[in-house]
Amino acid sequence: MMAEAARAQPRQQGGWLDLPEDIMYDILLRLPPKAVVRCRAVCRSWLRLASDRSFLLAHHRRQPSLPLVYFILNDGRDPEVSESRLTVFDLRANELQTVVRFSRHGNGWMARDRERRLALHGSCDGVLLLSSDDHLFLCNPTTRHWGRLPPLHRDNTIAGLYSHRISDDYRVLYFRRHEDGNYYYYVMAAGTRKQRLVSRQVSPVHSSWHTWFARHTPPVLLHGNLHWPPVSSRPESIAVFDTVAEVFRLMPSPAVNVNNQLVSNVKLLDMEGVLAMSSSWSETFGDDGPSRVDLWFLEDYKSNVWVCKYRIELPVEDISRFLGLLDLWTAVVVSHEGDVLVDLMNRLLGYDREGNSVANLPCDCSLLEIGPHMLKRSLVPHASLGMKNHSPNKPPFL
Amino acid sequence: MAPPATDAATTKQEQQHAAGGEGVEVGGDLRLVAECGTVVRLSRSAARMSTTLFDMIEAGCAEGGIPIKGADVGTLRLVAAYCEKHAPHYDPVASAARLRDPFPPFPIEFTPASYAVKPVTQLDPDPHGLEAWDRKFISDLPDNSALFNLIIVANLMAIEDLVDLGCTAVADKMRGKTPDEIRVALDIENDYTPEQEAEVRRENAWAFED
Repeated sequence: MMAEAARAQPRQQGGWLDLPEDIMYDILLRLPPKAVVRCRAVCRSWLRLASDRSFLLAHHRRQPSLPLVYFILNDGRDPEVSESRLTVFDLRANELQTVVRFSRHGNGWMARDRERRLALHGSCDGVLLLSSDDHLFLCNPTTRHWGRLPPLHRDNTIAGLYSHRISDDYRVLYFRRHEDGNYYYYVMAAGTRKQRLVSRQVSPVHSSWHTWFARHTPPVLLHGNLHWPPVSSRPESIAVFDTVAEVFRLMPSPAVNVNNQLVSNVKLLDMEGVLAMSSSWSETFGDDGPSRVDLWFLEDYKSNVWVCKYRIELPVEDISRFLGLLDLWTAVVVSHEGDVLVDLMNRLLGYDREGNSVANLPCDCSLLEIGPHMLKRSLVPHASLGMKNHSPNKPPFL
Repeated sequence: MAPPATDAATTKQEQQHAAGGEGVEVGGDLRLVAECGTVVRLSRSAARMSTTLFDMIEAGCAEGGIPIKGADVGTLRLVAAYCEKHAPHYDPVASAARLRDPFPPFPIEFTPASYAVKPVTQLDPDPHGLEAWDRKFISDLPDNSALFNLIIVANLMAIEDLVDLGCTAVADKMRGKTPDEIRVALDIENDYTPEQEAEVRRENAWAFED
């Protein structure tokens, strides 16, 4: 440090040039993604610092994992045009940041409208797997880089997006039911665009209601394995897909109550490298939503030791104030500190693990859905996302 | 026993002599010497915040004047003020964990809820008033030079918390600004040709939109 300071030729005493480069690195690490990119245009040494791959990886690691919230807004003027918006909800800042925006005609619920709709199938390392009109895209919403993937036959359901450690490429795991009644799992690699059969199962390994459920319970990627939360038909196991060996297996789940509803009360999360499970439930029968959320951590991955770290009591009376007559609410933990996101029809509420209110955001929209996915922003470039924002044929949501 | 007592007494005398006979006791304040020779005193408990000084105290070579190369008196006094203010609440383990890992590990023990419905209140996030003090400390700095010097000296002395505070302050000055505004705010020379700068902006047009 001292030697570097001595070697620098300061334009003036105490100028920024005297700052050692690793201090400058530390400062840039603290900036949000947009500010980091703006710094590249300030001067040449900052371009080098703010473009360095290991810097960008460190910057990505520092970003918070924020829950993605899906909206459909109705522009009152024209009922035929609606805007889908995918946003991230920063609880502590009580603000929504738009990630992706998509306008379309027709807001019906018919099958063809559903397909034309923007759909999110996976989120990994700051990259999203999105589909619209049967086209499949990989997209980094932070850098606006994107890549197109070959479309999948519509009988297929996507089970997860993951990054394959060894080839450093993104892969999509998907499945469909064949005439023989079995479920065939395939993997498509973004780089080679090849689709391969990897497994044949008697029933969908990771879900019971398959199509709907698969979209609403994305897996968590940790240690090269994809993990899905337990389902009501098999509450004692977590389904695991080894992305290297490309085989499925089961691992024991902590003792949680798994409901049998469309929106599960159990969710898996990646808490800074530790597999965690958020399990919500009602202490009182007849409540319109969960009053408690338990947060479990898998302390020891190899020997499967699960510990219930937090029991978060939600202020039911407080939440009920915002409820309409037939409304329900769902609650899920979204951060390693135990922040809980409560989803009401037209409002997002956030509580810390002590049950204190940290966020309260009314939303004027016709549909609000807390997505099951999280986004951890990244500026890291990737070969499979080689298309820039100004490329032709760019997806409609950029 | 006689010999150690004698040794101790001799050592103390030697140290007092080395310190110019100013009667500095073993276990008293440290004497930091700025570039110009002025001495800035720092209590032992405050000196703990500097890893460099802490190591020196442990090694027993923190007696006498400790020159801080390249540090002017003003900056050194600011550093000392920061350390004296934060010393009573300094937790080296928490500090190291927080800075190394921006998402520190959760505590092992959980405290079960003691009552069913929690009051909806905001906890006091700054119980010792340190955050408010830090904000004023930074805003009282006269100019960017003072801030950069503070970071440089804190870095030299390995006072992680102060380096963290300084870096965050610089980052705050940069947030939301255009590249031109950043150059003005931090007095940075633009070494791009217009074509090069345009190229950088084009590559990442989304960041320069608003």
